[in-house]
Amino acid sequence: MRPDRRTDEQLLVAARTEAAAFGAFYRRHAPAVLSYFRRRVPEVEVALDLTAETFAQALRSVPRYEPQPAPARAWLFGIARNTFLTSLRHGQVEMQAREALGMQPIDLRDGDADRLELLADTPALDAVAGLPAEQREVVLARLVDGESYEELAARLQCSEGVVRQRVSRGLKALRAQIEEDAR
Amino acid sequence: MSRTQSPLDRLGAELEAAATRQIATARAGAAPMRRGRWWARHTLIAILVVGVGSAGAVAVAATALLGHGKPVPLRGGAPVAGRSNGAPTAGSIRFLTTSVPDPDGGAPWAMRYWTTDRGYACFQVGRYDAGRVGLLSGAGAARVLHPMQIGTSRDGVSGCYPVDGAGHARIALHEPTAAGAATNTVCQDNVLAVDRAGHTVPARFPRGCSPPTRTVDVGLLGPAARSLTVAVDGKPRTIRPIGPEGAYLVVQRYVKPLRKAVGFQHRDVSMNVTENAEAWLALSPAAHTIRRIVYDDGICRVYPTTIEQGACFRHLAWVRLPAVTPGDVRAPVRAWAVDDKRIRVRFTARQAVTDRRSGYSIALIPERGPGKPRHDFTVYEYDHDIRAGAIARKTISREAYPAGRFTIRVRFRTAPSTPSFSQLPWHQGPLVGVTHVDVGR
Repeated sequence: MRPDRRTDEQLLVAARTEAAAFGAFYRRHAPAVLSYFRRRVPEVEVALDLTAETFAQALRSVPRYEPQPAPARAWLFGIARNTFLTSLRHGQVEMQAREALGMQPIDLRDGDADRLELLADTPALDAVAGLPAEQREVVLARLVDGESYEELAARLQCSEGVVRQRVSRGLKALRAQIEEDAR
Repeated sequence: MSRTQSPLDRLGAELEAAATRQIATARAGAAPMRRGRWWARHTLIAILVVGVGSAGAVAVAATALLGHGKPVPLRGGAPVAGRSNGAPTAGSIRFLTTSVPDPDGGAPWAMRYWTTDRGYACFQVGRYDAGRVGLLSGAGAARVLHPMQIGTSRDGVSGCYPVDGAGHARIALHEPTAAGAATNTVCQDNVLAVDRAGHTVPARFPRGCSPPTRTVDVGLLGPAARSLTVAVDGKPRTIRPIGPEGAYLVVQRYVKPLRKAVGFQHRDVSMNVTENAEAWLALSPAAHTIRRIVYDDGICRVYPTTIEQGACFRHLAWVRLPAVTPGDVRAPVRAWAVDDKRIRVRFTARQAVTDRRSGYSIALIPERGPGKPRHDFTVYEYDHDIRAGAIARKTISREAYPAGRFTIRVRFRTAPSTPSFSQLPWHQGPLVGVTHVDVGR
């Protein structure tokens, strides 16, 4: 399948009338969302369940989606974060959106868990674990969770400049680490 | 769909199909149609199952979010059929509830129940996740559920209590716990004690304990209980006991226990010695969190009390067990020395032992006389199952005593026929027989 060259925002707008556009948006971000959950829950099956619910919620929001200054990826990870927190609060993975869409559950077969583990595994995110705590937090929040510099500054009670500097230093260290690992 | 597709591919296909349906519905100008038979069916099952007080299928619909850690160790090892409290009877293990909410949300609380082959009803209370009940540790995303194994757990609210002649236990617990359901790590809000000089000293807490954050009221009221009014956050709430066991489980933020002053009353109230005014364990509710119970034979207004029977003793409708008379147990007893330390005892068990409420005791009494200890003896229990008429054999040791002549006295012990939460055969019981044996001389 040829990759769709449209931007995320274009795909989400097109998804109002074109199912394949949402499919392309999903394929582009599913491994990252799965990886996001895999680092937060102990079992990969649960991470898949959370991923499914996140994209189902995104699909239900497509008719109301309007491109924003913030990237569509941030919008998606905002949904992922809310799905995770709500599920955590209720002690079980939310399934409202999947129910509303009439989606079938994904049965896991032999070897599926291993394949999911591979899909959820990204060397960059593993390298993030090696960063100093203050850099790790802002890098994950900015690049994985899609929080804006402004949101991060407010949450960490520091200036946007400090946040930018930490992200920049974190990325530099990350790049060096990945290059070293690749040698 | 190809079998080589990854689960993410299959999810993508499912999402595209859902997107197609959503677009078609939007074009038709109607609200999105629910196709989802699977989800609808399972949600319905979950609701129905909660309604009848069991929970097997809830776990099917609810995907676990918690990691599962090491199981909570058992006190006294795994249950063994025919010994001690016994092993679960076939098909008796079930959840009486899995949906009691925690004040702070998250995994609900559950109560697992079973009966044993030795006349006990057991339950465990803890947080529930994916078909398991246990104790939570950690916080946030790192929370881990430590499952309770079947048996008496070393931590958490659990226990086994004797059943009456109709197979129902009566018990009421009022326990401070941690939010994760642990009890061992909680500083019990104990009474003050007095040291030898008359100064009050705080009760000893386990090292590194933390203040309790939950109060758990749980119990078995029996089949005669119709409704129960409890105070949750100070407000009365009436609930229906679950099943013929008359089970209830109420979890709320920690409620300070009631205290009463005891002994000498000082002018300065802070110097009075106080103790709990309500029992944490009783045969019927005794804590101020339970307000009243409607039984078949009337209403019990619960008052705080420390007596073992609790406030609703008159309403327990306890079905007595048949009493055993001396004529039912009398039999010859034989004893002989195996070597210079061990003695083999043998007698006919005319009364069967089928539960933990009865058993035989073998007293080893050294010969009395000049230079010999007076009123000194050792009792060996023969407390596992034996059928009526079978020969009981037990080897005992005289090691604690010098060589000499010993009296062997065997009794059949039973629990009192009146209700008691121990129900262990503490009474001396009717005599089976007496014999004498020379050992080590």
